[in-house]
Amino acid sequence: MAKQPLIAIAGMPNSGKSALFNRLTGSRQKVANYAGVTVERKEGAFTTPAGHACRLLDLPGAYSLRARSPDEAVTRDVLLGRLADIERPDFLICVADATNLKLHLRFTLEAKALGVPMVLALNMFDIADRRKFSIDAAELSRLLGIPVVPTVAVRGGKVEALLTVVDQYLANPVPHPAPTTWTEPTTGDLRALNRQAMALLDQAGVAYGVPPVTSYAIDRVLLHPVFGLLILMGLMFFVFQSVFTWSAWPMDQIDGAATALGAWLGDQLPDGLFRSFIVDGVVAGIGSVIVFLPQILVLYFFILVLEDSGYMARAAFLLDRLMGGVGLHGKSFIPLLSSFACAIPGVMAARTIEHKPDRLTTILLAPLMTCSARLPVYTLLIAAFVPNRDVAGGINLQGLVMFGLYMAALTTGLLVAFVLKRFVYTEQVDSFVMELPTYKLPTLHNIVFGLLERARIFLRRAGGIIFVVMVVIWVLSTFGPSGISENIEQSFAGIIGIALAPLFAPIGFSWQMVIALIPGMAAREVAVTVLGTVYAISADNEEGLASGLATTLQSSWALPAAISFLVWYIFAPQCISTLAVIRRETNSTRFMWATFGYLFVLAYVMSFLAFQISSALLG
Amino acid sequence: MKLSTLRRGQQARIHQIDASDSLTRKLLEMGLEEGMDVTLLHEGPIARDPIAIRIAGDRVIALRRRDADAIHLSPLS
Repeated sequence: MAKQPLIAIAGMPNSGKSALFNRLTGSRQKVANYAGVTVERKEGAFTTPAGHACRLLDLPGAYSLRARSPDEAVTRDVLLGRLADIERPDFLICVADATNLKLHLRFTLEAKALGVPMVLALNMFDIADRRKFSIDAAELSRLLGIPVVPTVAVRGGKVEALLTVVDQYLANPVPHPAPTTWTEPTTGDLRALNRQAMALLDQAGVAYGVPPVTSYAIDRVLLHPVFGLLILMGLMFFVFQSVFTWSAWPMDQIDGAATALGAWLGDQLPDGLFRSFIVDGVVAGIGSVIVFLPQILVLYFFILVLEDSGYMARAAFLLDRLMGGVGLHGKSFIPLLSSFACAIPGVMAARTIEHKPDRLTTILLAPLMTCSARLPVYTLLIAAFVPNRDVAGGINLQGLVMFGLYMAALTTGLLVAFVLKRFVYTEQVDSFVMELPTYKLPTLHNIVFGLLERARIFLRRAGGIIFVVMVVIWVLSTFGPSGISENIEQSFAGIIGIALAPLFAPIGFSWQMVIALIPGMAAREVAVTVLGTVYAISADNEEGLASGLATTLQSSWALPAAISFLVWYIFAPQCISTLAVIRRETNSTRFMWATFGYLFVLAYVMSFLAFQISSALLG
Repeated sequence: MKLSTLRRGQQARIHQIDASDSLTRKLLEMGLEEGMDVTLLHEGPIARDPIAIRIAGDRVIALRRRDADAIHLSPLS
């Protein structure tokens, strides 16, 4: 064989397929997208004990090959050799949960009809052993007519038998795989396949062991109508807190390192355009990308733990009705939660939602969740305009306003979802049928690999976009019509800001405020720096800048304008990177503009109301 | 009797699945089938929706009451 053989892993969700993939490939894996669709293509490499170097493809989990979601379509099309960007696999490892064979064997039978030479891996065999299942792999193999091996993908695991089968195949490969006999199964076919699977298990003398009683006991608490919901809320609160507290130190370090690197480069390079480009464009740009990485990793750590343990399905169960009431899906929960750190991973996480209207609604809502880049702006304005005193019951007024800003965004998000369901995505709601898998202890191995994968995806997909935006914004704020501009008012950004000022006059923005919005499009928190520049605040560090700026703003902004600016920040589509990711994930420029349009209108109307009402009240 | 009217802890047998073609296929793919015994384990916190049922093979499946409406049950003999 001239080329390295391609081996595919396929199986139902919860079969431990990805754990097996991680176990076989270790760190030798990469993630890309299949051409034209937003389905992740996970490929890795490994060498068999006999020394065959292979490529390994982790196909998306599928309940069937009928392909009701883009993920399932990819699994089917790859195995049928229908995709242009990857050849048909030489060999298939079909993974089944050994404790759930009645269900998983039906998929195996369906996959067998595809004609690719295959092996059935009875995964999580250790759990089946512990629960006293009796499974005769040799007998199953004889009845199915394909090799069947027990595997354990986690905790050191055993995959030797599987690798032996792969070696046996590679020593004697079939040059032309059998023709496909697969056709899309009708309900009749599915019933027949289910019966066939049952009969096979009976014949092979497979005996079920003890039920997962521990799982049932945990569910009685975690799915309790009252305690279950309280625990979920407590957990969400803990996750949310941790995203900010655990990441504070690394974020400071990254910020400090970027500033130090910028300062050092500034000393090394001669004064001029090139230095400004490197320090303010490139270094600041890269810094603003990686500064979000700690938050995203903390968030994904929790998501991976909750997903691996089986809790995420329970969270979807508890929240489905609440979310469903406004036209969302139980699965919208993770993308929206992620968006509190940053809307970009939130929008990317929405791809797990099969039903398209639910997915699009979730994406439309993601930028409304209060991402952490808004915090510096909120903090600055609250410090400047909200008195730091206690209101009734020892509650701090500044804290209360901050909480109000979060709640305003969340409530609006739910209202928007409701309106969308009522007037836009009015078609029949999707059905929600979901397995609640037995609880499992998450494994460190899987979590580490998951985090590395997420970090790589974020840096590659979002990093490029954020970086380009930062550089463009640097160009706009550095150059003006007459070349390099000395102050920001004469730069292109300043000219655009001043030109747009009349548009923003009804909502109370001065031209200084409008100028801050433009570089703020790169990343919201940049607006603070720009305000510092506009008001010519010079300070050596951020704290100095913030306190100096707060004092200046107090004297130069009227309270209604400040309120209007805060309200604007709740809603406005102030982040080009998010919009670019939305375009990418939906494959639609129109959808991106629709998102921009609705958020802009929402922000404008709300700021207008806030400004006019507060002006009238404060006279 | 329908699956949507089963009470918590109650057990019955699936008599007939009377759903759209796509929902029927989805249910079959999830392993729900005529002749199978189901027990209602949990109900969601709001409007007792969705529901979680235990089916053969010691599996737990969650579904919305709307979808459960399409599953007709017969009492266990």
